[in-house]
Amino acid sequence: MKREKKRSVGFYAGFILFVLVALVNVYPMVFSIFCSFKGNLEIFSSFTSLPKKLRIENYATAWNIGNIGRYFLNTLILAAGTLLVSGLFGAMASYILAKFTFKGKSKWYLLFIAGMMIPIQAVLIPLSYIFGKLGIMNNYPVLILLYSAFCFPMTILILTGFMNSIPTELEEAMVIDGAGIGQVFFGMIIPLSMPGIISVSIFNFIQVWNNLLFPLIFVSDKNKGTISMGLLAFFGEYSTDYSASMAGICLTTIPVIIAYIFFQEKIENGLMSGAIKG
Amino acid sequence: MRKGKAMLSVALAAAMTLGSAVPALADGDKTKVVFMSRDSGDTPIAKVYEDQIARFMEENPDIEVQNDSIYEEAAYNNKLKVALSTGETPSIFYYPAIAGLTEWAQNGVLLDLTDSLDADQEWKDSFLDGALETYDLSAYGADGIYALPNELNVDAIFYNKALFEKAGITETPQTMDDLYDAIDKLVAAGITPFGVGGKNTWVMGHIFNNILAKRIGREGIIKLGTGEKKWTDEDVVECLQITKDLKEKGAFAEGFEGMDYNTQMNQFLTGEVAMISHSSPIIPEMLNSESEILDDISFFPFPYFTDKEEFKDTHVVYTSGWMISGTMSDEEKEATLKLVKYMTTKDAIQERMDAAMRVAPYKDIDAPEDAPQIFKDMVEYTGTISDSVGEYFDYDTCSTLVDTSRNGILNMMLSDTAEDTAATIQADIDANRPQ
Amino acid sequence: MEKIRKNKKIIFIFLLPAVLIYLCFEVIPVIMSIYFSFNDWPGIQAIPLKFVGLNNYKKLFSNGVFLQSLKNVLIYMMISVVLQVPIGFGLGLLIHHFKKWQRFFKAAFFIPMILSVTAVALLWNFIYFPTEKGILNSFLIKLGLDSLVHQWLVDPKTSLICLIIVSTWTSVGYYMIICLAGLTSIPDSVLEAGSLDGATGWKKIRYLYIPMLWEPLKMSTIMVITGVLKIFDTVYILTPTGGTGNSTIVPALLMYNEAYRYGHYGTGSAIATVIFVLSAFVSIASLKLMNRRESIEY
Repeated sequence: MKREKKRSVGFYAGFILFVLVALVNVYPMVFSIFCSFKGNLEIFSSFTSLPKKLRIENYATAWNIGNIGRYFLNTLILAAGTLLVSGLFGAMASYILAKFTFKGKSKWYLLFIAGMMIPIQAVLIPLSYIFGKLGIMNNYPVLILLYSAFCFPMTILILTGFMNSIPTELEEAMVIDGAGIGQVFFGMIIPLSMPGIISVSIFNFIQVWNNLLFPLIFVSDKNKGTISMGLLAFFGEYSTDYSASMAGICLTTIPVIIAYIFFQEKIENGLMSGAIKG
Repeated sequence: MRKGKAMLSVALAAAMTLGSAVPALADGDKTKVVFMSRDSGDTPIAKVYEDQIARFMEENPDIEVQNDSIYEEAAYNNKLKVALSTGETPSIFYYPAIAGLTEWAQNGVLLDLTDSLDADQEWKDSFLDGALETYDLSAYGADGIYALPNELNVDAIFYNKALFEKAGITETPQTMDDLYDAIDKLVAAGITPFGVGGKNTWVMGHIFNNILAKRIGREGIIKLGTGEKKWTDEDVVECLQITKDLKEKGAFAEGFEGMDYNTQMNQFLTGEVAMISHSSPIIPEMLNSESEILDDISFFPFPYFTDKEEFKDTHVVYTSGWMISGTMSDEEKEATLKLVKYMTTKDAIQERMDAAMRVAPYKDIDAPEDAPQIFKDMVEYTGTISDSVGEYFDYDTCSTLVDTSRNGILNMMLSDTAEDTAATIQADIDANRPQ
Repeated sequence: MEKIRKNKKIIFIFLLPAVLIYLCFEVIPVIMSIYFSFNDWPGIQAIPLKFVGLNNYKKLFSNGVFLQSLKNVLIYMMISVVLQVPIGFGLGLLIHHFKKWQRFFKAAFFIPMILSVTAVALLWNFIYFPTEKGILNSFLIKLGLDSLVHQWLVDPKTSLICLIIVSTWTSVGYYMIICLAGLTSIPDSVLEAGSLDGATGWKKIRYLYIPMLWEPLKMSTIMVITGVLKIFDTVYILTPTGGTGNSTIVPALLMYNEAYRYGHYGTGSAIATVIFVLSAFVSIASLKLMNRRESIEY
């Protein structure tokens, strides 16, 4: 389906402008990388200058102090679990809320959406009260369920929106062909909602990745710490070691960016080939 | 509510069994002690504590110490407050308050250390004279000693000798008039006198606190805290005005209201500004940096006012303490006190000073021979202090005062008058100080 | 099919896991928190709750700082909706056009979203730095606009808008992704048809893209609204005290201070409840408003 289009001068001007805007936007990341190679005083003497020499040792410090290797893996496990639980159960609930009819449906929907309005700090004390009573601190399955609970509102908001726009005729055709509800859901609804699932998963992933409050309160076992807890270690007594903390930030961010870029292409290709409609 | 909570628990427990594994089991029959300080990460003092705890556990295999220290303030605060709310108070923890501890003391959150101290006279005697009285809360309605003073942070003005010389200042300022004079000379020489990270409101707050100490003395500050004195009193407003006037005299860097304390430190360490007001723990931090002016750094005590000579020797010293949980079993209490004593033996305190240049309120601790001169001077200066006072809000039970007053002072530096600032602070106290 | 759509068993099985997790970990704690808001509690387990009725709310609404925080957050919300959604979707549409560099563009606009709050704060501190050394100020000087140089985060006139810009910078990337996801799910044939009809420029956006992307647009708006009303991190890190003369104070920051700094847990919970009710009200209102327009089915 190739289409030839005449490109106007305006198009190219716009394109170049856009490239510039994008570069300005990437600059902060570049800035962080620069800072991660500088010394502390050097950062402050001029914010934007190039590092005088490459201090690789900042990275060594960051890796050791922040326990980055271990925490990276821990956070990955938590994030993967959360994406699975919130993605699957969220999609199931969204399907019902989008396509089924029953009494009180809109109330359930609103109840889920209402979760987006809750500041995390507001529920910390009640939550820790319950967790403490039940003795379920330092427990990853529980943490995954907790993260998932806070991911559901967004997941359900987005997925119901997507599923709403899937034509009902497609489902009906499958049912007439003799498919069960499981086949309809996994065979058609899930693939068709993939763009939504991916975009909400990206969002949820970032939430889990950067979340500091939950692990801080509910994880006391040092071996079970997360990336965000590791980054806290860079804040020293009376001054912050900016160079090491920037190195730590780069160590934890760059893999995510790389993964994101890779991930994105794979998914898009998958979508193209697997597209049912059209 | 009780029934409701029980039902919640049942519902939650049901959910747990659906999706979760068995909770991790605690370590056999070891007694657990939770140590939670603000010293964590890569700092020398954090390493000293870490080492001491490790050695303690080796010597006491039946005790397990969990070090939950976090430096970052908000993170520490969250964790501590959640722990207190659920009754899981850490065995040993830090909290920046004195009068503010009263409610916890009255409700059994904190251990009254009077008996434990009396039972071990040698330990009790190792503290500097008067140090233990810091946490005696009887004036606020809770009889007893509710924390162990653990560290002394002595306020002083650190200055850059080379820049002073360049501006033609030959003597370090003794009186405020000397200081004003020095400021004028520095400004005339094109040097910014003070680096101030106003965005971190404690920086201006500390400068004000020094002025307060030198004008109304320890007793005045305590009266302010107990309500006998008001912020709108003439002498307090005057202190606010003096603080504000420093800006008019050109004492601070341009734009200081929006800078943070890291910037302030770096301005000082790169020789951009001539002075900073800070306290003793900054010395090792400075020495650890790659600054090229380290040899030029020295300090002098905050100057006094010639019309208030009676408070010449009142010095600002911030004491931080270790609070001990009041809700532990006898076994845990015993283990906790054992750890505390282990970490406060003469050797342990000396270790802190040697490795991390920390000054603790204990007798007979000397700076090591090979310590840098500035640190030796600081230890000597600390030894000469007999009349000290902490932060004004330490003596007030109003928990909002710390923020209201510090924000108020920063707003005053920007635009508000001293009178309005005093009125705002007093109004907040009237509304929020527990009766 | 209609029979299946009413099948109670299927509905129950599909909803149950999400509902159960959600109830246990979010709804119940929130209900407890609302309950706390009618009580005085210093946040210590040893002290029981003391029922005080609406006292905490009465105190709040007679507190000038709280009212200021409501005003700030509403301004924050309105400007954010006007900025974030259109910019995010504009980026999405543009990127959809520029097939060639798509990967680069997507990453470029999405990166701020992935950065940790610490990194973002550090960075913008340097940009808004109050002296001529600051990145923004030095840039203005280079442009010869010396008169514009000032203390961005300190001046009450600029501080709030500065924070809004930071929020916008970090989150437009996400709305861009939502827009792209929406575009991917529109069959090419529909877009082709739209182009063949000769619709161009604004007309194309107005009559083709906006109706097509109505659902994602609606979602994004709700997300901006609810996200802003509970905003905490950005404000706390860039203006920890809530700004000069409370120019950037927001309810979540006040709530944090009341509960975690001053030990007024009842008041803190009351603020949380107000945030919750306010965002429920605003988002339901905007949902209603946006539902009036039917999206195009294809």
